[in-house]
Amino acid sequence: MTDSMTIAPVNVRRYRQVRNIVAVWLTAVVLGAFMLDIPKMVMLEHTARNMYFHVPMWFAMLAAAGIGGYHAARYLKTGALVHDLRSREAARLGVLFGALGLATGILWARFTWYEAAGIWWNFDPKQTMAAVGLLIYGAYFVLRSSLEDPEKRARLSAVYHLFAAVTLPFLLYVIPRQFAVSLHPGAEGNPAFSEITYWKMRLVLYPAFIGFIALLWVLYTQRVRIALAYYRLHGETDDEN
Amino acid sequence: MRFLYAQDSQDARSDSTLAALPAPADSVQATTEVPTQEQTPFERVFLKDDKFMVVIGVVFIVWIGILAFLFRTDRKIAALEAALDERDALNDV
Repeated sequence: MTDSMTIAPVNVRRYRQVRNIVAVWLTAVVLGAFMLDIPKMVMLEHTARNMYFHVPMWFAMLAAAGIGGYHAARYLKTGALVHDLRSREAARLGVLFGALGLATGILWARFTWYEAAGIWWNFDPKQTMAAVGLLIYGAYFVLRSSLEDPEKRARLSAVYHLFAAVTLPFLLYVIPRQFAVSLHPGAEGNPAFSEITYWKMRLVLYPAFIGFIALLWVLYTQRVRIALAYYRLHGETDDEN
Repeated sequence: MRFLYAQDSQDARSDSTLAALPAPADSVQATTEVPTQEQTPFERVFLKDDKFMVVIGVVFIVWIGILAFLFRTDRKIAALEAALDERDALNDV
């Protein structure tokens, strides 16, 4: 097993540059999210500001699926174990951001859509499909942990990860829009998001999308660095732990 | 009639119970105009809009704390990588 791990290190300089920009950028987003005024909307009130944080979680998860799917495909083409490792770390970050997106959505919905009903969950199509997506990603880790041989684990995981990554846009965007009843924007009877978004909110929202996707990349790259260092130290991946 | 009467008396009872309770110290501050010294500029910023700026301050502190942690972790990783580079360089000799 010649070492794709040591010949493909992380570009630490670029990592630091992106990280520093992200730190300043997201600080500005956080401040702007609270300090700029927003129109008072029925039911939403100040929770409209949740859009700055909740929606980017899903964009970050999709970006993670993109990175993970790309490296899964690269593994299948090249057989270099470093792509398996990168694919795995992308999946981890994807699950993190997906879980945060789901949790923030549940809390937000409880005090807006379900304020009168007093419930936490009502099978909103988009919310449900997001949960299904997380389960599909969860199975990726079950699959990994069930395979002992590193090459076999990498190959089967890569195939499964490609499948998981491809389903995600359908689960988050295509399927929920086929339902007339979803409370999320873009479903039938609801205005699409661009029509209800006040111009000052876009000043925060679009930078938030960019910022959180960049934050995802920073956290992903940080974990890749740790995993590569582990490999250099022990001569095997940290999959067993 | 009996229903109305029962409810009225219950309301009266709960009212008197509330009135008998001592008001918490902070509710006095929040609901009455206490003549105080003029606010400093710092206070004016943080007390406006129902103390909304305090929330921004708290979120800002949390965010900076998480960032500091991220940077510290990076420094540890960099030190680990440097140690590994050194070890590998020695092994090559």
